[in-house]
Amino acid sequence: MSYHHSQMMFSQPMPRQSMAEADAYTGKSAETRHLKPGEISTGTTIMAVQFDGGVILCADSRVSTGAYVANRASDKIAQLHDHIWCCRSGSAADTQALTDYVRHYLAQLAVETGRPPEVKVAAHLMRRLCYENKDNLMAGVIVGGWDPVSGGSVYSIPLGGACIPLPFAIGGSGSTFIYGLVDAEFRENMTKDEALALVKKAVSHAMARDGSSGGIIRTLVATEEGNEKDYVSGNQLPYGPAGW
Amino acid sequence: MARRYDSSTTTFSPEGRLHQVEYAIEAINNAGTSVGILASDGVVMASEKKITSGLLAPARTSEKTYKLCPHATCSVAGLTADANILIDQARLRAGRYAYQYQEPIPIENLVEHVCNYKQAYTQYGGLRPFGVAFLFAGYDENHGFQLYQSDPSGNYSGWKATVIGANNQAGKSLLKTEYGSSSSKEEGDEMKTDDADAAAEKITMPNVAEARRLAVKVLNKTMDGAVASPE
Repeated sequence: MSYHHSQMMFSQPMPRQSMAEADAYTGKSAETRHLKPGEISTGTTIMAVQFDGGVILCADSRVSTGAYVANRASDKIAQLHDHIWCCRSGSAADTQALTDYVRHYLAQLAVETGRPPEVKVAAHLMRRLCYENKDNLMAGVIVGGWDPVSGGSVYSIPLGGACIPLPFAIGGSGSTFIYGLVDAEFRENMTKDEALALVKKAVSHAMARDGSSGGIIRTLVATEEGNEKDYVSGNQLPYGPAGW
Repeated sequence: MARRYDSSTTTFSPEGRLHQVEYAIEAINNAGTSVGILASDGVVMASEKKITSGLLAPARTSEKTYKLCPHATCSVAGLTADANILIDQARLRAGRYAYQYQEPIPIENLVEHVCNYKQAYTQYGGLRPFGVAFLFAGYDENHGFQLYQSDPSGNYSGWKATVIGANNQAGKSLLKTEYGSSSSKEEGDEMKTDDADAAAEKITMPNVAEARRLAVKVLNKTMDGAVASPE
């Protein structure tokens, strides 16, 4: 059975196109490229926060095709390895493909080294794929998890394929509405419950204002002990008009 | 008489044998012993780790046992360098199968892939065969716990209990008498109840604890008094 990676591969670094050609129809820059007609988007709010002992990942659950909500209870928090997870935003297809690749590479790495991979390695693999295929992808990803070397870590990987380690990260279309809120309320070394309250509040606010975000809030707490998956149902959101 | 037909893998002898393959199998009979035993609730594999020199640095990895994927392991007897190539192949195959089909690879599928790879070196290319025999142990949903043995020819078969490496014949004959018989159970273990069909030779599958005891017993015999290492 032969099986080929075809277009999406790690490639050697290549000289980039000049700026004049970058906006040409086929090679639009990441920021101005839009979803293809009919393509499914995780127009989204995603968030990840470091706390004392691990990391919390949080996301809304709305997946839309234009104005139609294709899935109102999707899971945008994907597992890459035992204690490494990522939040997906942008094109659902692109982020699913990326997640599958990184999960495969991490599994191979773990079996060969006999150790759990570090979160920064997972983030680097994700970012390599996002950068080297930036012309063909629309994916904003937040990688977060726990490893024995660095503890809890969060890496933000926005559209062009940069990889930024941060104490907390927000992403997706709904994140624009909550920058101020999160900047004001985030503190380092929160307890797990404080961090959970923060992510739920922030994502709630984003869901209230962003049409592409909604549904339920899913949370994932990753620590040395393990993973806790949970959700807040739509009628119990910390913030939002009553009756949703 | 065999000399004219034994230097190329791609030539049969007049008796219909592939001598290079047989010589490869001989190479394995000098390697450390590995025993594998299938139990009702798992598979037990035990290996003899030969200490070739006191000056060797403590190894972080084993030269006998390797994890191939979360649900399969293998034990090696033979040329370690050859084994490393095949283990890489097996790991890649397991990973790519999981990527493509989004489910764990069935054990026989994995074993067959490695064996097909080995077989190619007995038929084309003029390259020598791999001097490695494997014991593969794993679990999948359809067939439960399984134990397979493969050799340089690329043949494989499923076993309830088997031995590879040095003194494997002695180990196998011990297993023949001991596997599944009541003498392998200790005092206090559940005794098989008599029923009309039960013949003296009926084999009952041991559990992991019994299998482990049996494996150690076999290794003690094949290692003929050599000092046992913790492995």
